[in-house]
Amino acid sequence: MPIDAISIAPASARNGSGTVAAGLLLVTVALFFGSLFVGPVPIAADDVWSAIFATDRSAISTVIHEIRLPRSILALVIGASLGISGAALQALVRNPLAEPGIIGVSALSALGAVTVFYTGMANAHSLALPIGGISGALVSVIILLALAGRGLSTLTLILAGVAINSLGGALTALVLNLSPNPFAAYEIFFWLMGSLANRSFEHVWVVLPFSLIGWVLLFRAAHALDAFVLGEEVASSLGVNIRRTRWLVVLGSALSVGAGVAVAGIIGFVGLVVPHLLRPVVGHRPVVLLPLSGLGGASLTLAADLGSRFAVGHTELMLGVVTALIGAPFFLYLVLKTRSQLI
Amino acid sequence: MSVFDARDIVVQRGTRLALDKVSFNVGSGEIIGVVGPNGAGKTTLLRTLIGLQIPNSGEIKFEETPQQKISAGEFARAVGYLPQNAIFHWPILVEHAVKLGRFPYQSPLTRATSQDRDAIERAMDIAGIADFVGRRVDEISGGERMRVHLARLLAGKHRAIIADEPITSLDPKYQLHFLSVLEREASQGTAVVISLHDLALASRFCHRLIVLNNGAVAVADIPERALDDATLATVFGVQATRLHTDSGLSIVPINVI
Repeated sequence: MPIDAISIAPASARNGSGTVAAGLLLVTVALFFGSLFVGPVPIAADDVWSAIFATDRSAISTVIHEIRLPRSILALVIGASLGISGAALQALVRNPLAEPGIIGVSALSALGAVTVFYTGMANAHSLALPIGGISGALVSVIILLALAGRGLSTLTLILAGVAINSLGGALTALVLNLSPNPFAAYEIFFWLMGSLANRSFEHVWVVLPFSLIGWVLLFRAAHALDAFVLGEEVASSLGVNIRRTRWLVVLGSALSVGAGVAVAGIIGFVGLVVPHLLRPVVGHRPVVLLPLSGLGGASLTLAADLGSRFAVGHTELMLGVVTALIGAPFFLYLVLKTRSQLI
Repeated sequence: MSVFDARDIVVQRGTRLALDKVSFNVGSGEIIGVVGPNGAGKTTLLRTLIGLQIPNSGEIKFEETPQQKISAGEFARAVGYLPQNAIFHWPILVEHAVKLGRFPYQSPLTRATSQDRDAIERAMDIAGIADFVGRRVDEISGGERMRVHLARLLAGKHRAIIADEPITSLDPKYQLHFLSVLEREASQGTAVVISLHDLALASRFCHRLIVLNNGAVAVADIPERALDDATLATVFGVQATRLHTDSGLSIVPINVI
């Protein structure tokens, strides 16, 4: 990644991004390790440290390695995916209100997973659920790419995404409606709210490859996205391959976010709020915003997941509920504060 | 050598022809003005030249090579484009905006070279925005923002520049400034194709004018002959007076016919 520094830029602008990047990295690392210390089973801090590096099969080591570590890794990876793809999508459509959910990936991914619940396959194999989710994400990508292949404008593409989104939501409701078993409906309903509780390394191995491929695609679009600040036509006159950039962003978002939804349900607002918050700090340049939003998304998701562990009554909060509770009012505040700059 | 050579360009929009067998050529160092009433096809013609609009028939050669045979990167380095109503979608810093003009020369993994820096500094100097460093494009006036667009265009060091009504929203001083800058680039060999509404400025700065009417070339000639009384009456529906000044001819519309 070229966190490139033009020599005539004022020193403050350059060091600003660097300082924020270093700060976010520190926060992410701190939250990642910090999240290993919090859980329903009380474990002393000293024991957590020694258990992280232990290879034995003690109870403490099992809790850390098989319960808390995968959960933290998932929060890190899924949060980073949401942040990076949010920043890339907002740069692509040049609209701060875009987010990964807008291209319909989350909705169809959720539909795929819900279908697995409905057919009862979820109980047959622990990987059935993520595979269902990723299949749904891939269907949304294939539809979007078929549309993009016809040379539609970015706005049309987004509107198509909104339509796919609504259809996914409607079909998910239909599955809930048809569910013969009230317990299955209850389970689906909770799963849709988004959570990282009770996930294992199996889930990590499902999410990680898709996320990494998605990140590579998104970062390959970063340089071109910088030119989108002048609009698609000028970007094209500067040698940017508009269609290739669009494909990279759509496919990269679908793979990374779709895989996340498949194992954790829908986690909203991270992809919307994080780039919005960091954009002014990096001088509004997509090429710098992408990696920073990755760190910001990981931090926010780790923090929200940490927050969800502090029980209200005897029930752990759902992660999607926490991010929405933090994200929605905060976003409303941002919109009101900066409404003159929007659109 | 001719920089652009357009032959029988036809662009169809639904049932009507946006461009109807348009042919012309542009030599290096020439300033070609594209004039005509609203809807005459000026923007379509410029978009076709830059490759944003694919003609239904006809051929455009750039430096003797058919346009579609030139790679996107090579064409981007050779030809710069400033669209009508150019905008910045994010409030970036002025120097970052100008640096985007160097985009065709950069790859994702390289840093700015000394050539890039020289080109950016020169462009900001010529456009008169050298002291705008550190300011955001949303903190300056519309006229100042247009000079940032001009600097972005100049930073590309193109062999040809295509600008679509760039001066419409500028005050008289910066209209003259903008066109003088292009005049200076042309004197150094850059080919300039510019669409203009202001006939006085078009006749004052352009070497030749292409007068478009309903998508067809009504006349293409030096300003004095292109904007004769008959053309002004039939194409524009105006009467004009001719001012012979020390800086050359200026044709100023006076009355509606």
